[in-house]
Amino acid sequence: MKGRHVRIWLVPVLALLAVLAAGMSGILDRQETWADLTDPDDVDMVFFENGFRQSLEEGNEYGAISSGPWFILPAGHYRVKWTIWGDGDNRIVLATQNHARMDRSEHTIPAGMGIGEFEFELMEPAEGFELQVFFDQGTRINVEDLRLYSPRYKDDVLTLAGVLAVLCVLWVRHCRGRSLSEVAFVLLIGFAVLYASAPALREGTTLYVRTQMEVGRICNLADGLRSRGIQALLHPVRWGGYLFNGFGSVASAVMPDMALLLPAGLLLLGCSVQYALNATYILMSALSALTMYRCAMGIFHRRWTAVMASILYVLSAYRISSLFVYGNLGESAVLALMPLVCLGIWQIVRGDVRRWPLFAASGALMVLCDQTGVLGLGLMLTVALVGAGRLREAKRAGMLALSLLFVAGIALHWIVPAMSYLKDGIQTPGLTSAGERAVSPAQLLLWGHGEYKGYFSDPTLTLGPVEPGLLTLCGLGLVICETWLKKQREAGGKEALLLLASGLLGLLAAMGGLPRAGSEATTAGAVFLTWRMAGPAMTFLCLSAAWGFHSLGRKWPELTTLAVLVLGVFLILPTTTAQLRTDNYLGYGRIPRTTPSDAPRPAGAGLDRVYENQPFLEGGADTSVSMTRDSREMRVSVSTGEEARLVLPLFLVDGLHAELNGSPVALEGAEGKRAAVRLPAVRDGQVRVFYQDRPVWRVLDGVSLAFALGLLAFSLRGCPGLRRRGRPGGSRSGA
Amino acid sequence: MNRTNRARLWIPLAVLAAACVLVVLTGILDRQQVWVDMMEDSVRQLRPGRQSREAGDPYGILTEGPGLTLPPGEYRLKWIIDCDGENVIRLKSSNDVEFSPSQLQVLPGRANNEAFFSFERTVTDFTIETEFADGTFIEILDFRLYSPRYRDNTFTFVLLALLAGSIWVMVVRGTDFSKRAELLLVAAAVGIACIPVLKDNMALVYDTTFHAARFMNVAEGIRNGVFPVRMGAWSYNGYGALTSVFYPDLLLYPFAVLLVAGASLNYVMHLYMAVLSAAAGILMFRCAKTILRNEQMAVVAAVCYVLSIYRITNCFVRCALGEATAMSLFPLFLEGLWEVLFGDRRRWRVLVLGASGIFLCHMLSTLLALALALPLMILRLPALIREKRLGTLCLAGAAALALCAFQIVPMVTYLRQGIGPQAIMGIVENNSLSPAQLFLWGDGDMPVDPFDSTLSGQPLEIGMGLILGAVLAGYALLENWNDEQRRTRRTVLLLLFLGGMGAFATTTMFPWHRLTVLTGGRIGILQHAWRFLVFPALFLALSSGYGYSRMLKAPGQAALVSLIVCTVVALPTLSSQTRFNDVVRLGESTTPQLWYTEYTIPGTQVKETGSQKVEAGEGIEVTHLKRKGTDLSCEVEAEREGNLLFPLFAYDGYRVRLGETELPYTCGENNRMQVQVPQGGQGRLTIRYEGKAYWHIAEAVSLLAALALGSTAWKRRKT
Repeated sequence: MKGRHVRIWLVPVLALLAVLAAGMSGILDRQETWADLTDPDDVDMVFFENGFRQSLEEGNEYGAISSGPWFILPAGHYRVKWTIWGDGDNRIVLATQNHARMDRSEHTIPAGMGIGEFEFELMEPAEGFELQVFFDQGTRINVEDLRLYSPRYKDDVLTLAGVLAVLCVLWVRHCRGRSLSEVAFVLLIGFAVLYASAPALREGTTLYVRTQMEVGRICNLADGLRSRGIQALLHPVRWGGYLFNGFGSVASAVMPDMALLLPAGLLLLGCSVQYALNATYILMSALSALTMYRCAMGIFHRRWTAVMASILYVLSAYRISSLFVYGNLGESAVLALMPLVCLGIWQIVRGDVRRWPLFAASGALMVLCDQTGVLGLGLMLTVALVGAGRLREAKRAGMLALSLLFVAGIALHWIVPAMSYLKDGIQTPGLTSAGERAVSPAQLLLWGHGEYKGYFSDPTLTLGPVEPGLLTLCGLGLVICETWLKKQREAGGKEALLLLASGLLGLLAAMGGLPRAGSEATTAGAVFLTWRMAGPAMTFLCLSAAWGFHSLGRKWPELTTLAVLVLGVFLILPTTTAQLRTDNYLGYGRIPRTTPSDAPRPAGAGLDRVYENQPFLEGGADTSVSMTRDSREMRVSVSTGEEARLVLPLFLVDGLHAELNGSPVALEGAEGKRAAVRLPAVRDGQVRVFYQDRPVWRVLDGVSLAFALGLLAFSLRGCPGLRRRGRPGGSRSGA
Repeated sequence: MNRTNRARLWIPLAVLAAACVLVVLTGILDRQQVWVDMMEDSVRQLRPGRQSREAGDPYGILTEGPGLTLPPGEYRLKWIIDCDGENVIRLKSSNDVEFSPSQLQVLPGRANNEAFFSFERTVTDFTIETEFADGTFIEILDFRLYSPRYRDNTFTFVLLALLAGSIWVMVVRGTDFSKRAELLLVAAAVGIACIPVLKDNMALVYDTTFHAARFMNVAEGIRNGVFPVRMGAWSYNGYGALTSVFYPDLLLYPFAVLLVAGASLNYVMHLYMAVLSAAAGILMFRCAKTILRNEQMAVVAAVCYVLSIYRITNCFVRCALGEATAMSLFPLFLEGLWEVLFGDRRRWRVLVLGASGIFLCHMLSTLLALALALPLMILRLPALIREKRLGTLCLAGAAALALCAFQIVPMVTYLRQGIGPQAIMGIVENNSLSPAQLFLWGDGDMPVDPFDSTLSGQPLEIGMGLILGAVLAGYALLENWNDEQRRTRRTVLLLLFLGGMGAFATTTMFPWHRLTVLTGGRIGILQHAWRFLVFPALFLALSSGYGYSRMLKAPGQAALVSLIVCTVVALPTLSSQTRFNDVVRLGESTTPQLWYTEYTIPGTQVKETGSQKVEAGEGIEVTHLKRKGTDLSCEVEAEREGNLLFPLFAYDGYRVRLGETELPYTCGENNRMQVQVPQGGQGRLTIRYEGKAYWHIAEAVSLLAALALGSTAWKRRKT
């Protein structure tokens, strides 16, 4: 027995060691090399207006002879290799448009040196990064080559870890005698996930509609996590100092970003932004497949129905659009959790009511992932209240109320600060500006292929394909045929019809068929774009359509699944292909600008001044100011002969605190909503600025934690799945 | 067979044969391209409208264009020019081709006039220059150009007649077609894969010019009685090219014969592409039948392979005909390799045939074949020794080498002289793909973001049909793990593994950088990492055969489903390439003034091949210059010692004789052949490409090897 255990666990241990070895040795680290910076044919090049060779004899003059490549680069350790010949000492000057701090700003090229390299560290993201070669001395200079090397990223180590983890799970299952045929169907779902993730299988990424915003939020969150350290487990991040060129944002407080924890964590582990995004996209698809499979199994108790539902959902146009047209990670996470919420509410209303913690937990997670989670929750509840007579049973209604209480309790730590900031006038253009956008019925019958370019001229069509798709519609048609036209109903027909009705309700809402005022009131305007109702609707529709397909091909479930798979992939291929080949490419090792226009910031805070990111004194005499900062705080050394106002490169938000030589001082607003501190005459004063939550929010954090722990306790104590009492309605592998 | 049956067999065949003879002799099906409305489309009128001296219009040139590239032959020009004087039409080209006649007389009056003219070499930028030289007015109303008559439809008729005859023979002999019904689906796949060739005009894509030049070089050689052709007399405007030495073209000979016999270039290249698809289907069927031991699976594998996107891309998007030919032969190679390593080793000749075939059509594919065979052989080494297969393997290798000796020896000769593929060396890591590219649904050439070098505009994908087939294979294998034979399990796993590794090798995830460093950059000969897509196409097609067939067990169902899926995946690319808007129209040709620098003497400026004149030094007179391919002769009279510079690149292998005296030659300006003529030298100077004497030994070895292989195969078949 002992030997068997050793045999089983030796492989995972070896895999773990291999990952650790790869991570520590750096053997799998990835690095981008911009090697063709002096190649005139390359799109990424340093621009030499008067050529690579300059000579005083030919009339050239001293000064900068190059500009560009104007990269936007993340913070990190970089290396420059140069091949420059000259008969005098010349320089390479490092310049940025956003005045990013770096540990060196120039490098001297000694006369006759020829080939050399130097390293430098960007302490914050650089926009418009330039390598300016200065012809300073001698009679001639010849620039033959310039190369820039990015920091080293741990992307491949994480990939190795992921692959080995999957293999280890298979190995352990195999060793424990589980038959491989039990998991064969996973290959079919895996195929769907693979195709649904195709645009993410690359080094760089496409700049989708919201990618700039999402990257900003992820990096902001990572910055906040870095500053909070272990405390982040108890007190979630609300402010980060990444967005707006370091002016900071309370994006995490205003917009729920539980879904961004994964990419932010990957960044903290040393991955590139591109990898963090792509890995999240893939995992979202995999998670959607898994949750939908669970949901369909829970409702229909038939494997092939569940497999088809999973495939339909993974390949649904709305989900693909959310990921690869809009690049909306929060909404994608909501879509991934929606099936669990659906299953949870199903259990409360029609199934095993003891499973209510599933609804509470998934509902809370959904709300904490994106504001559209509230919308999805609302739709689910509407369906539950309208469509289920069994809810009249006192126990079920009580459990529903209890679940909602837990959802609210767990989300409390986000709801209150978010409301507070919104009340304080934090602008969220990304949330509230678009208003209503209900779609034409035509949109729901299309075959989309990437972005619709006429989006701005026709407001009744969406930018991305959000249609249910021909396949799902066929499935729904089959449901109607099977349940209404045939006398003998297949098991699950009633459920399929109910799901169909629920889905149609969602589509009706997406077309503006439901009263908007109600939803506006319940969501405080935080859920814009009416067509987003089509997202939650897809959960119901895919479940229903899967049943329709299964009832059609009940004698050949594998063939029906194959047909669903093939058609499903064909329906999304135009979109994935078009989105991969779009010309908004974010190359490996680069980042988008840190100033997304729709990220939360104080009302009136313009983005045009954020490139002036140095503190300065207004008034005063005989002044000096210097600044250092990290994720936790900003420190400004200041001297002034008389009273002055220190204007800081930070947006003033509730929660920012300042100290002068250890004593608290009040922050006030300056022009452009910048934070400022009034200073008396001071010599060698140290102003420390940092973010700290309100005490009451910290209490709310505790309350939310208590609710979460309570839910955990309830689920451990009361979840029948853990008691192994068997499942209602059939066996697990029933076809 | 009794008399009635014999009559039933032979009478239709005789009728078909008679019809063929009739069609060939009468030329009833010959085709001719007519360029009508040239005054509107392509002949540019420099001074439009009626030109009149009274109105002050001067004498001078009135038209230029149409700028066509035309193959040699006899053409007819029709014109309607209203004038009252004797004017002139001159025929010109940009590559120094002589027209016979080069000047046509335009007589006074307004009538339909026509004249015939011909030329012996392909003309680039063909120009009809009309000069207003006499009389008081002129008005040009119309030009029409008629190409030579091409025998394209005649050959199609003969080929169809042969096919019909074969089927008739099978019918009369009682062949049971019901057993072969599924093969119709393979034929359908071939038909679908041939959509872009079912038209007159040929898409002018990446490598069209290069491969057209190969056909033309061989045809030119055959026309001049050269065999085997080594020095291409068509490329570089007749300056000579060693393409045939480095880019073997043995398989092009039958098609070049068609060119010589009067087919158009478009027809021949299209026919070649169609034959490649058919060959891919047939050979993959054989290969899959050998490996999977199931005819139904073999049909699916053949369908998937014929319609695999990379094969279609090679044929129609890249027009990489060498690689496409190798892809058609890869199944044969794999079948032979499989038999020698795992199966009936007595079938080693299949390996010889496959390996030699690949070598004799594409060098880089030969390297890929080696990259496949070597690891398999190493992995299988203990079993090879145990089962005494090593000797067979060595025998097959030796036979393949002997068979290809006639090609290897000249190639090595020139490689040692520094001529070779250096110009095409690339950085493989820069041409690897994002894995995402493999899962797209391309439709021919598509624009990509220039900032993303890891995506290609070409549809370099595996294709959903094959990936689905592989997934189904995995699924079926897992589902039936305990029921399936151990051999089948291992076979399918191996196929999936090899296909997966091939796909992995095309991506940016593969350590190409380290491999480049390790090999000192020599791996750059492969140019593109995505060439490894040949392996996913090959192995995933085979595993698809298993996957679809196990999933869909009813007869024909699997093949039909795979055909539908693969067709839908391939159709966008086939459609877009059919509608490609840059074409070589019927009756036109690609340019012989190539810009490819591979296989030339280092330092050659290949674009500077416009002149066809012999440049003679002072005191040397050159007359009666005649040219036939790369063979050249002229009368020389040298009053003093001096150099002659010929319009030929000075590759090793030429023999220059003045009378009976052999003269040495050197590389002159732009590596042109420079011959020093001694003072007082006079007589007929001849230049002829003869190669090296020891090449004939290699040719003899190859011939003997072919005969030996043929005879032993014949004996084995009889026994």
